[in-house]
Amino acid sequence: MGRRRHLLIAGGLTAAALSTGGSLTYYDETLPTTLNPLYASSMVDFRSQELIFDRLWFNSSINNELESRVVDSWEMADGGRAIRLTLKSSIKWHDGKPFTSKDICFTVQAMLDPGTPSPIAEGYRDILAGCKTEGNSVAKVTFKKVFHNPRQRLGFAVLPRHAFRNNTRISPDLEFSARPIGTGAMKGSRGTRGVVFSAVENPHHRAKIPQLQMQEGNDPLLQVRAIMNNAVQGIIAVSPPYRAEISARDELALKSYDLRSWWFIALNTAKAPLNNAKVRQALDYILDRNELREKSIGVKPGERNSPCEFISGPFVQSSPYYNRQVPTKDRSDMAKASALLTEAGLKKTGGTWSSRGAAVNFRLGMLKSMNTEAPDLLEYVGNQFGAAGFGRQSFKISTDEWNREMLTGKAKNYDMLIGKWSFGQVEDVNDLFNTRKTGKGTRNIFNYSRADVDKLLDNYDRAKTDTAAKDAYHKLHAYLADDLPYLFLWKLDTKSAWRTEVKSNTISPYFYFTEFDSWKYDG
Amino acid sequence: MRLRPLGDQALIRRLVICAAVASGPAAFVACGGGSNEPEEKPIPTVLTPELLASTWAVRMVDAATRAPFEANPGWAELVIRRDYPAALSAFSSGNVEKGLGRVHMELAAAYRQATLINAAATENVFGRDRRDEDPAFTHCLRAVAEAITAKPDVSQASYEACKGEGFRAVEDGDLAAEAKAWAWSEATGEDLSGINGHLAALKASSGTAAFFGDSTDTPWNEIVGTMPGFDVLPHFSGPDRLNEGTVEGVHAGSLAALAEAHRQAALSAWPDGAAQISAALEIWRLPLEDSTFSIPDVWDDALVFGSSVLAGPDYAYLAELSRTDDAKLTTENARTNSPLAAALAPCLKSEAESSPTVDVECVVDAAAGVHAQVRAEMVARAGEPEDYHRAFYDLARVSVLRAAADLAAANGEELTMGRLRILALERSTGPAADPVPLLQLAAWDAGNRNVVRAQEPLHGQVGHLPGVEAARYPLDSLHVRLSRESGPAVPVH
Repeated sequence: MGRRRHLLIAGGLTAAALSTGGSLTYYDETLPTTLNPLYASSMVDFRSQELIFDRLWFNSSINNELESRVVDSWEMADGGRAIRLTLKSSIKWHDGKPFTSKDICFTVQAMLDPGTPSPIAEGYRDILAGCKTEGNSVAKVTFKKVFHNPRQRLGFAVLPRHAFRNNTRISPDLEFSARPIGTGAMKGSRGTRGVVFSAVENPHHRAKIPQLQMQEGNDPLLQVRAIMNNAVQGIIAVSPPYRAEISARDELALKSYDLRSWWFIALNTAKAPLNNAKVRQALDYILDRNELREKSIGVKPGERNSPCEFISGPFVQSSPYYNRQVPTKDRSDMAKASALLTEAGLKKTGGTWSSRGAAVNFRLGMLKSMNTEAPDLLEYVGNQFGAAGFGRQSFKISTDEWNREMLTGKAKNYDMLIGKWSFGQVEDVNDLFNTRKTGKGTRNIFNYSRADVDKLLDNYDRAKTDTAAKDAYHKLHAYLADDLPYLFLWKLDTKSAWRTEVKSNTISPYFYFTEFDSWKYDG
Repeated sequence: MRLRPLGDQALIRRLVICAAVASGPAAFVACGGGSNEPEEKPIPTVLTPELLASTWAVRMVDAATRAPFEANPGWAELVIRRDYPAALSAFSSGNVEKGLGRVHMELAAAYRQATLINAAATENVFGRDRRDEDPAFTHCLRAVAEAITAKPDVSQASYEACKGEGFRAVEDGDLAAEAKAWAWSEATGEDLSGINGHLAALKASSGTAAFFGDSTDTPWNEIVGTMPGFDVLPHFSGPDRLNEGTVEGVHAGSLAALAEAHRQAALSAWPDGAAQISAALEIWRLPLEDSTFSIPDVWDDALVFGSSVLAGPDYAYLAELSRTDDAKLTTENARTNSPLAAALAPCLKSEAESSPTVDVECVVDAAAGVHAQVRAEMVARAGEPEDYHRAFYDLARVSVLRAAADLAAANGEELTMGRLRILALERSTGPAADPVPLLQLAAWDAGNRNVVRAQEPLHGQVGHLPGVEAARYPLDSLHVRLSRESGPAVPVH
């Protein structure tokens, strides 16, 4: 009873009788938009799906070994252009149907089906050529060419053929997206207020925690209070200002979560006056990133080991793709900004910038869930542009709207959008900056289009050697830092908090719950 | 304890930050004000009263014991901020020989870990993941890496491959000489104590000549109080075989030379502490090096204060672990004097006839227990909680986790070792963020091709440890190679 009251008070959510003995509740940034692995568009989606599905191969979070829970053995075939997989026996889908090689081939064929409009599947179309079953337990997956480490490329989640009635044209809006069937440790069901995961016994999974309840985290302070009161047992992303408080508590542990996330303000390069590079450059000088970081994330200038580090291009500074020759802009430089705006033909009257006789107003939006990590960032950014002489209207954008409008390039009413992108080991940014066309530029928010950029991205794609690929991205970095389709802000480390009653809770890089079977809860 | 509202963020962080900004004589008592102590719980008994009393954290409650460490701001820079340049500067100004010895010792350990990052990444990218387009000189980089990781046979084969693939004797002569010196170092009987032979070869290279000077007599005294780096990086570069780009490299021996320079500087700065420094550095020795230390009779507080051990005898225990074939026996033998051995001995568990293994949950509980015991004892001795206490007892907890990882390694349990190092990493915040163990985990990750986790701690040291970016070249190359061979991924929010 007391625990439910805490939930109601701290989270503003109904407890909904979801906490049974040994079950865990945690806050994630928002609710997943889909539980279908082909359509993950956020880290929340990936994390949730990782509990429900098995990926063909995954890397151990401890020693990085490539492992599989569903493949018993494998051998190369056809001179290295194919891999023959023998599956483990007795694995069942969550609905009790047997898991077979037909499911592997169905998943491959679904990804190869042009009628499946999935950006993730699009990537696999460049790699995979087909799949054939050899009985119920053997699948032969064929590649388009010989690869050095073919298993490393087979990290996709396996889908149940029977759930789609063998129709390989998979649409994002099926019932499956809310109530999927997987072979993972937990069965998942998405409701309007959360996701309930229930353990499913299987030969290849033995979760020790019977039930897991995911809720949407809102106010970071309330999240922290809830975990301190044991109303929830985990927080996926702890707001930086509260990390010290959490790490000082014996009953809580701050956990590392390896994720490369960088933050940006996308600029609508199709709309005046932002279609003028000088105006974009001026805005880059107006931003005082030090102040933004200090106010919203709580990092003092010059703080050592800061979780938040400025960037000058579309990579984190520790990445080999980051061009370290391009300096960051930490402080504002209003003189340079004014000079650039004047050169661009804008006029300042009575403290307000105008273009062609009209005051310049910006419609500024931010992905709402980011407010948890950087409270009030939207207002602080708006205030800085306001103080510089621009009108602005600010909007917090739901994840659904972000996926529906921003990711699809339909956000024409906005001038600026604050967002973040997350990556694992692969830091391919082509989808962000390539001109939108078939299979390319699928995440290009304002439909930015430059022939020079497309060429650099193509150079990266076609690079025969690692150094050529790195060179292409270094040049891209330098180009974007000047042309500024984005104002690049910072990378921000993600840290989770879990109560110490939750044990053996190894957090896997990027996917988070890959090794959930080992988690224990003594609560 | 109540959480303060968002408007009081500065207050919330104060406990952690205030210690970091304090310096000078009052460094460890500078953070006055409210208590942030968690609710009291029963305190487990992990350490006997005698062992608990022997820990540096507990002993430093005594003002007289603490006084030498408040007399020079270098100690706060070293222990609280982990700022080596500032610590060296302060110790140099005050001519504090023990402080200089300690900092150079830690730098030697840090550069050894950077050496291993470079070596592990080089072996992966130009060995296991070698591609046809890799130029010949990368075989020489690999030869050095393999020598340092104690694989003389493969190292020599790599050197021969370097020559056999059209290695340009004139342009790349320095690298060839250096690679040869490393590849045959074991055969010529030169362990790392004979690194001067290598340094003589290294001096010829553009990168290392700058700080080793022209004389074959290494001017170690001149290095005391300084942090030498490389004038130019990378040391070697050349087109790939497809002429599509330029491969850049720095061999691991360059970083080993930096490590050796600091080791020698530590011995020069504090000659009376030489035996202790050598024994303390034992746990960080490179695979190439033989174990040659002897256990000193006494451990000076200058080596123990703010370190990853709880008391001096822990150094001896960890050093013995690094060369033992019987981790359990070593732990049992050490548990009467070493608080770390005492805390960990019950966590080596065996069922029936099986060999003992390290129980991770037992270790986590032991670390929490030591944390609680040290905290309670500090409060009892001080009369009330003081804000500097937290930095000390937090370090005590991490020390147990780090030592447990060493125990697992000695016991042949690599996966458990990794799990414990990650647990230690998660507790390595504020003053507990000692660069050496963080780089040690990065080196292990580089060996496991876990480039993302390896890059972050290394990146964190660039700008603080001159020349450490030399470890970045092969790690970056490995990252690019592995990421281009991974499955497709799209950016997500």
